[in-house]
Amino acid sequence: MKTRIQELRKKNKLSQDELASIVGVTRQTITSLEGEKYTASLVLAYKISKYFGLSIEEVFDFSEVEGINDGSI
Amino acid sequence: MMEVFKETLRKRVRFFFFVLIFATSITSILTVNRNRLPNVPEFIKGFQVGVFIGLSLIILYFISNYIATLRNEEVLRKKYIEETDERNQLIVYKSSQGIYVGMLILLSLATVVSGFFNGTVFFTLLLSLVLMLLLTIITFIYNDKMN
Repeated sequence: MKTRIQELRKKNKLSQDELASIVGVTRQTITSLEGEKYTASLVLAYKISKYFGLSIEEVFDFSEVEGINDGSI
Repeated sequence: MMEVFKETLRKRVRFFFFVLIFATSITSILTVNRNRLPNVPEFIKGFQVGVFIGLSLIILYFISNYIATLRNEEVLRKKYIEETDERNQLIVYKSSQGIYVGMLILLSLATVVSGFFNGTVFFTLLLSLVLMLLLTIITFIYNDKMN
């Protein structure tokens, strides 16, 4: 899943390690999120969005999630 | 949260310590009384000693690691994050699934093949297989009820 985590992290001058420590995950998880290899759980997505002061939809891109934008849901 | 995790680590230290004492006791008793037990090939004796030493070293490593972690708040916090990290938990979960299915298949094949050669080995493997399946069913039912 695409996210703006890297963009927001750099804007706030944070390292991956620092962001990981703030939201309570390992640096590898942040790397995987930014590399679009891993999809965050609801709780983690909320924690990251809340830290940046944005909504979940503003940080995580749901446009490619099956069923959300094709009218089936 | 951190206090709960600290208590979890303390429990692990106690558990591993108990396992070490138990393993050492059993191995010592059996080694001292080896002449009263059936004679086994040297390979098996060597394997038993090797497993005991290896297991003891691993247990001692974990005990010392946990004690060191409990003494340092920063290390404790990092350990907590490592153990509760959702991606790490997903990796362990997915790996466990693959390992379990692989073991089930290999054990089943070994059971069938051993039946052609040795009855004792066949029944030992069959019992292991049955216990593994029984444990799977119990665990599934337990987790189904708890969630």
